[in-house]
Amino acid sequence: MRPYFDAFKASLKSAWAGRYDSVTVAFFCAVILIVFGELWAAAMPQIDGHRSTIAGYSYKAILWYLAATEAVVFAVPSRRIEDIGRDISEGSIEIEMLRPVSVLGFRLARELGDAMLRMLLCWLVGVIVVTPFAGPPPSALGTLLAVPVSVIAVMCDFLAVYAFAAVAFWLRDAKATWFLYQKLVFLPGGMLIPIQLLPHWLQAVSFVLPFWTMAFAAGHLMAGHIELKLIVGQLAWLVVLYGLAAFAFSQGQRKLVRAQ
Amino acid sequence: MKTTLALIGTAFAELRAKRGAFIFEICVMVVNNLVWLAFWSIFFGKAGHVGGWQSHDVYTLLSVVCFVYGIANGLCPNASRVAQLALDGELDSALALPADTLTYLLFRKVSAFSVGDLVFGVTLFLITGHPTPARLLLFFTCTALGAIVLVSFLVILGAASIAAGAGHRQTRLGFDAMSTLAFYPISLFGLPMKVVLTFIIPAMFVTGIPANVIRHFSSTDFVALVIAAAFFASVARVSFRGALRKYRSGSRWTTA
Repeated sequence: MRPYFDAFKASLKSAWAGRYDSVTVAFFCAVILIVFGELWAAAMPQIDGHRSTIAGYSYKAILWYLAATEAVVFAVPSRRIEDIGRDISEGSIEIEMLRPVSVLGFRLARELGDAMLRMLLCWLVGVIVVTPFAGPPPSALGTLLAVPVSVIAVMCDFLAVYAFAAVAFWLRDAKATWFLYQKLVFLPGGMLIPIQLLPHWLQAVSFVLPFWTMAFAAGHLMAGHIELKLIVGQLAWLVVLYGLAAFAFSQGQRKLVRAQ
Repeated sequence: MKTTLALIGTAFAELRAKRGAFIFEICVMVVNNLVWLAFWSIFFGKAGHVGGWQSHDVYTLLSVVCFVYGIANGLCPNASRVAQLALDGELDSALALPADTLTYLLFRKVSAFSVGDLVFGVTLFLITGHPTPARLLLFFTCTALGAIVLVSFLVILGAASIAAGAGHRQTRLGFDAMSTLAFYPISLFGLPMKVVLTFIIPAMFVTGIPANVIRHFSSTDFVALVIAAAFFASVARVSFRGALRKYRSGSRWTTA
């Protein structure tokens, strides 16, 4: 485990050294939250000092939901699939295979170190932007649970990204797939809007797919809906996604070895 | 004009050579835009009308956003890469050509992704925008003016980066900020945000006013849009010339 932990630490340090990139990401997170704050304020107008609720979400709950989903999703660079695809097609992966560690594990450790700083900054920005709009989070327990769930969400996201990007072992150009993947996190993943607001058939589809673990789970808890089955489901998907990514990468690496 | 058309023709011929990838990338962009369409449909399905906007108004906005980005990114993908081209030394070869450098850089490539935006934008307007010949003319005119503002804004950022000797991140940041804000009905924002969107990141002129003019024609707004397009285009040309005067070749060979 030592090399992976060292990779995590080194990447966290290097993310801190280049922290202006993370600050830029956090700035965009703030812009999106302000935009959505105004949008939902217009959608739930105040009548006699009270705002209406939509599908069990109050204005406060929906803003804290978005603060959580944005922080988690912004932690994972949107074009990472394209970068991994390029590393595969240009041969960087072949050089990494010479190391006595798992390519996937080592890369994931590095990615997580980098992502943690971004997520922390986005969370900080979320608290600063949302508190004046909506006050403190609806539930202290939900907030507490949302912290580990956010970390698992980022891990699930990276694993799915690597499973998706492994397509590049077989297809020369996997560039466009990041665009599709991002949209799966946006809508069935619940990043833009809570899954309960989707039409029933799309809700059913969303809960079958793994993307809810990457945004919705953290947001739902942050909005004050304490459902422990979400955490259990998320952990189960973490194992499945690791299995998928590891299988895809091992097959891809075998293909590269055979081609030598 | 002849040079521009010839450049666009060559760029499309290059794309046609990779027909499979071209069609796939168009489809990916159409799917991407369908997700936004689904988001707005669900949002307005739950919220009813928001600040005077109804679902069909947002579909008009979405068709404008797609068409503007389709023109700007699809036909001028280098607009957001001016500083990057300078850093990579790719301006050198363009400077040696007997064509206007800015025109050559802007039109020498076509992005298949953004052609998908063009296709989606016009199709959505034809389906949801109550098209008549007059409204179609208004749609194409307003989106073209919005695209001029967007391309000019990106060129200005690129030129400023070259002049300041900075990297290309400023343009990326400007592009991302514009893309983030252009997708939402601007009239829903408060005054401070509107000031930012008019004078700092001119999203108001890129999608906000074009969509408003198409929804409810106002000659004042239309004239403001024409003036803004002329102003931004002139500033872009002047600032690019200024940046070229400061440019000292980014070629890796000569800077080694």
